[in-house]
Amino acid sequence: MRILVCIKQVPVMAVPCLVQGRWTLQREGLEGQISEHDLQALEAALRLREARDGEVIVLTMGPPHAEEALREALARGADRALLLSDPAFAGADTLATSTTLAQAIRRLESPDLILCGARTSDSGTGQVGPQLAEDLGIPHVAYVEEVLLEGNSILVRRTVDRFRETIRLRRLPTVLTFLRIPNPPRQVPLHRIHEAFDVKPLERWGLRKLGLSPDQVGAAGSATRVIGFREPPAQRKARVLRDDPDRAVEEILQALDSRLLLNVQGGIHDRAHNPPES
Amino acid sequence: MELELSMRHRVVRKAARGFAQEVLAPWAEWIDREARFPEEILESMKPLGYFGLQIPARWEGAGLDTLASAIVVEELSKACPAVGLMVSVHNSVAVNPIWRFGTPQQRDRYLPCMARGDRIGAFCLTEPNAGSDTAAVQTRAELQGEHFIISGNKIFVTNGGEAGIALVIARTQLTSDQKEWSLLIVETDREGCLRGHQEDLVGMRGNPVCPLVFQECRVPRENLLGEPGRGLRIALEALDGGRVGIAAQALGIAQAALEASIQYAMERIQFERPIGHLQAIQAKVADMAVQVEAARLLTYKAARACDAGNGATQAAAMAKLFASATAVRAALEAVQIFGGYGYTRAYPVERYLRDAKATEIYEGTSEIQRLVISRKLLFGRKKRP
Ligand SMILES: Cc1cc2nc3c(=O)[nH]c(=O)nc-3n(C[C@H](O)[C@H](O)[C@H](O)COP(=O)(O)OP(=O)(O)OC[C@H]3O[C@@H](n4cnc5c(N)ncnc54)[C@H](O)[C@@H]3O)c2cc1C
Repeated sequence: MRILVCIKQVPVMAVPCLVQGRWTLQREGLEGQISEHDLQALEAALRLREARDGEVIVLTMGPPHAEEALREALARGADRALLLSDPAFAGADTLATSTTLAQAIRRLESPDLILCGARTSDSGTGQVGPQLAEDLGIPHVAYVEEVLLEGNSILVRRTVDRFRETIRLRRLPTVLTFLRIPNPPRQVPLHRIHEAFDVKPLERWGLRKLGLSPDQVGAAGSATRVIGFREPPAQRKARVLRDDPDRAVEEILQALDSRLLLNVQGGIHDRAHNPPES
Repeated sequence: MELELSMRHRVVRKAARGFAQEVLAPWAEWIDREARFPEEILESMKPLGYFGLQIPARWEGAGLDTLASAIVVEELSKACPAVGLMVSVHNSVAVNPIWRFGTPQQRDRYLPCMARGDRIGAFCLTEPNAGSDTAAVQTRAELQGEHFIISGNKIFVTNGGEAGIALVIARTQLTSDQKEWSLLIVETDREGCLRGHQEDLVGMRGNPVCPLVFQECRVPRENLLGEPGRGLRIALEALDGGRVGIAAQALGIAQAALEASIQYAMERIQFERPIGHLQAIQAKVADMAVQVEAARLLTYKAARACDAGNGATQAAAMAKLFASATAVRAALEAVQIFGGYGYTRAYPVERYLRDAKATEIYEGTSEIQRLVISRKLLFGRKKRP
């Protein structure tokens, strides 16, 4: 099984800052990291490969230093990496991004699964995965939490509008976008970092190699342009529970659970890794 | 000199930071309170390469350089200095000397099991009457036929309670009847090797520091590490790398104190504004940040000197001296910024202070570092005090 994972390097930010005079995030000089949900997609891919032999390929479009995100993905266990980098790709919106990624995927040996994060932590549109599927003319499921292999079909689970859905996909390839998975992404083994840099292959493709024209990619190929930002007014809805404490605790738990803030099956984090209650 | 980290070093930092913050940090307070490591923490570190940082893949190590190791220790120590200490000592003064000075047989026998973390390493120099004065070591190793018979008391052995392999410095009479010392590899499960009670330390409480007592402990002759009679020299050389590790520990603690201070300064409201708006607090944060950055540059420079392989004694002593002082000062200021709350166990800053102090003492006190540095400047060579 060949699994392709699309990842994005996003800046590590305590407080997001905008570039002076432009509606875009200040990224210069900031440390990069793999976007949170992309990391979950990668973890899901690695687990699938462990369940059934195959290959995990990581793909990113970004500036040259996005290589770091790919190297980290290789150290986590991906088999090879592809960096799409070209000055022409700069300023891409989600359409230009998915056009570029789709073209790269067409030029790779066809994958069985294409996994993405449901949305990035630095822009959060949630559009790239579904647009990628449309461009490639294949099905997709968004907001996936779990993937199970069943013979030649796959089962995916997700929670939408507070319903847990199970979907069977009979036709591959397909695009899946991940929101959260039951297992936290694995830690990076230090002794795999050498392989990630010196052994595992990383290719770099530019505009020419992709065979796209400059007006299909980057700012030129974008259908949208951000013309303003505004912080939404914060709303606070406080509720004071004055019942007996046991009932109140029950209610708080239910309220948190109904907003999916609790994972009732044992926590997003592995219990074994948390200190015992004292 | 290259001042920016390479991409490879940044990936190492990301790996260690991820482990330290996600897995280790939630345990730090518990480890300090209970004065022990939970088994699952050790187990989770083993497959991640923390116990074979620098040795090549051939012996199941991660093949990192000294700079990468320092970054790892810095990140671990930022979350839990007792674990940073364990990893630093295990790698820099137990595993690395076997790799650097060991025979091919010794490397094959000890490195893989140590790199996997199946055998934790310890380094035994200090004795009740030999601290800064390393030449006062009394422990003896007498060669009888094909065995050394070791007798003596080693104290303050970092990792002692967990250690499977100890490097022991003992007086020998192999090359002369004069004062000479040799280094021996001792499996701690040998008969005659006894562990004392864990020290009730002020800081670094999670680390099982304890005495190791040798009562006519028999060790095969082939366990001699390096040339006979050169043990003290090898040990002091290993301490260059060790001191970079201690500097990295101190750096991690100082960084933690700085970050805690910044966060608290913007949360705590007095006079209707976060105390971070008070100039006095701003000055503290600024001074801390400058010192931490300077400590980082010195530490990384010393690590690079170790990797370059042409003498790191001076750089390592400077890094350890400055970084440990920075950690103590930063932790002290953090307690001050936290006010009364900083003086309670409800916040981690008092722990940073207790942990930081140790870095000014072990692997050569600050006074000894100054001695090392000034000797070189004044007399142009290393001379023992
Ligand atoms: C937590 C912890 C872990 C340790 N782990 C290890 C370990 O794993 N292995 C190991 O071998 N040892 C270990 N040690 C021991 C440590 O290295 C010694 O404590 C240290 O070297 C100082 O020796 P001492 O305690 O005997 O102090 P002393 O040497 O008695 O020093 C007392 C004071 O006199 C000063 N002084 C001494 N000589 C001079 C001089 N010539 N010039 C100026 N000032 C001087 C010292 O700086 C100090 O302030 C550990 C200690 C601690 C606290």
